[in-house]
Amino acid sequence: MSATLTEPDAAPRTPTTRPPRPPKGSSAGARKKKPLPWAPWALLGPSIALLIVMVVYPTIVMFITSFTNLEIKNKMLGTAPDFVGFDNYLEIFTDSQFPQVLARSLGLMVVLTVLIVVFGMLIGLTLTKLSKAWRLAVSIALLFAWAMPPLAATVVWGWMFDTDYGVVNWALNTITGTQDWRGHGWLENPWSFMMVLVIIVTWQSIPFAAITFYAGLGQVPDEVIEASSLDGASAWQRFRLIILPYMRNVITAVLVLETIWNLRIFTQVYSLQQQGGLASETNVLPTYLFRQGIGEFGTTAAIGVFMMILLMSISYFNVRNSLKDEEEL
Amino acid sequence: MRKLGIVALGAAAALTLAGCSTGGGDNGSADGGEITVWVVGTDTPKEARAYLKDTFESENKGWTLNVEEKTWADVSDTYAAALQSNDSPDVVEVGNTQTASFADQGLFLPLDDFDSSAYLPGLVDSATYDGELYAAPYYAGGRIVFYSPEVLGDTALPTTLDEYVATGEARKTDTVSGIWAPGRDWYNALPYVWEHGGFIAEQEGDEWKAGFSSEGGIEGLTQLQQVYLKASNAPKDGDETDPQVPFCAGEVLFLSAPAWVQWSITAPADAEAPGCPDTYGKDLQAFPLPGGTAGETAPIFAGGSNIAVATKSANPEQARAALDIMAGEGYQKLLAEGGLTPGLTAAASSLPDTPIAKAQATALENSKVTPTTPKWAEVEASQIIQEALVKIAQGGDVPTIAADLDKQIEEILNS
Repeated sequence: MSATLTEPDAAPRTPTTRPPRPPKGSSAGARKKKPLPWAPWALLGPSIALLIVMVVYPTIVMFITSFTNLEIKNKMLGTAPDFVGFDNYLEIFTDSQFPQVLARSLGLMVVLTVLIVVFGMLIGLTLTKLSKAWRLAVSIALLFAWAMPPLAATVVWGWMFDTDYGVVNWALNTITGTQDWRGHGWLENPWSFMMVLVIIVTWQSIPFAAITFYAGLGQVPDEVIEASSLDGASAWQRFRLIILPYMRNVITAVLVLETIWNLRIFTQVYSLQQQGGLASETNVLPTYLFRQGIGEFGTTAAIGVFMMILLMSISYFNVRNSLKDEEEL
Repeated sequence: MRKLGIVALGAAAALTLAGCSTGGGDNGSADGGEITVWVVGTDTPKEARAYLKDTFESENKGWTLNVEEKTWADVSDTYAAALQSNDSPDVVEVGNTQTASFADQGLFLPLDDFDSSAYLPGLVDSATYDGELYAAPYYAGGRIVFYSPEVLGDTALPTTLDEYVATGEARKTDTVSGIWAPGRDWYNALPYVWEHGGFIAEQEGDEWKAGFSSEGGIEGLTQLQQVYLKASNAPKDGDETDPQVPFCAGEVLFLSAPAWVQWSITAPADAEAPGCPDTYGKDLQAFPLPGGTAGETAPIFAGGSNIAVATKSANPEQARAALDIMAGEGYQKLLAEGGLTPGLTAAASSLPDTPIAKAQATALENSKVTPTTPKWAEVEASQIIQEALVKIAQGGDVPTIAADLDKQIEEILNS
């Protein structure tokens, strides 16, 4: 992905660094005209078409819809919706729930991203120290967690935390030797709900971070590490001053991806809300969007536009920094 | 770069292929095609489904009919999305309280020339919007109180609602619920409100006024809070699905549930969702929820479903034929045999002569419906009633919660 993004930036500089071309007309000169530009375009065409159909067009439609009062009725009866200006945006921003939903979403995103990156890095580092057989076993275990469909995983986690028949309550009762945890509803309290949610999402997201970091750790040259340890650098110093700088691009990429994924998290929240808890006190932006009235396309599109702007502004600096780094290399 | 291009080409090809394949299936012609019927939940008996398929396919040569089962959770967003798409199902079952809203959005075809006089008036009303009939009555259902004589023991059956709550409280232990009352089961909460004179919402002129915070509403909700806190071990944030699980564990004295739950409780032990036909489900009994004075019943929620033809159905003519079979006597009798009160009044003679069926018939005599406005479906979809009840079940302040709830309901109904 990043390679394609840098292409236009990098292109203008290349001619100056290249050796001058041989003068025209020599050896195979007659056939070596300036190559027609159709080949790259033909290769790029399908992906550009896909992007236009699947990203650009829906985005434009969403943007337009957010300024209308489009309803299912309009679609079924073939009538045009009215343009309502910023009414939809006003409706969201003045909704009493919205500030809480936004704060909850951002808070959840920060907590999840930090946990995933920290634990992902720890497991990635552990993988480098393991023997081959163990490394294989741990990698497979990680991939299983990652490969499981989030909906199925959340339902199973929900059962484990079930109020009446959950294994968590049973285990806590057994460990403490009491009946204090009988009928304890883990999802009733919004904070407790969020804790369960964080466990589920972190559990499922760590494998991606861990395996990516492990791949990145392979790029750190052994001789530099060895030299630094001979110079008396402690493990923490080696990590902070050598491994981290080498891994900066990988970490940035994981951070950006996790930030985006964690802010638009839907499946786990929605499915857990089906199993218990209060939706109005546990909604994040995507579930809040989904729970607007049936077919209220205007309001939902406005929330969508807001989320898009939010995500773009959060990712902007990270993406720009990583692009800069690549240019410098 | 080249690799990306190839991937993109592959993806584009896959998309094109996928696009082609969806086009092929549903197109019917006069010679044949496919009709899709959506029923909701497990309550439509197997025999009825088979009857529908066989009858339709023998009356319409070359056509096939598929019955697909949805859940009640699907009957808002999933339905709205599917019914406006070009891949819409042809005939759908929809809750009686939601029918007007779907009709208002133009998702159902009006049923011309459908003689509704032979059907339950309550359901016909729910299916009528702007003077036109948009759906056929399917079945009605009321909630009755199940119990197992084995769990009941010597305790006398309650004759009034107050006694019912008192018995529930007295019999509650750490493991056994006197009354199984999960917080999100709002249909079962309504009788308490209605019995004390409260109401959901009433029209005053052009305005809707909600009544959970009326004097009777608060009285009812306060009694309900007592049930949640002192008579029930059910999860405060649980819903009404799978009540047979605690019942079959012997952990419930009184279970207020739709009559068809009897089949879940008595399902064979080796079924996919096993019941307990040999233990607590063996002598399953039921009675209508008692009312304020002995001999009376409490007003219950008149649940039920209608069936409608989707506007976007590719073959509305055949869809209508399928609907007519489902509303016809042969099919409706099969529903009745399954313990559902049939929409077709004449088919009620096929209701089994069991105490459970009788209890349901008695209970339904005193039943009410939700406000008849297309906006009502939005109240249900927003889950505000369920959430208010969860807060009450958690011991919250009833008048405050009721007032908030009324405000939210009025906001939606008057918007």
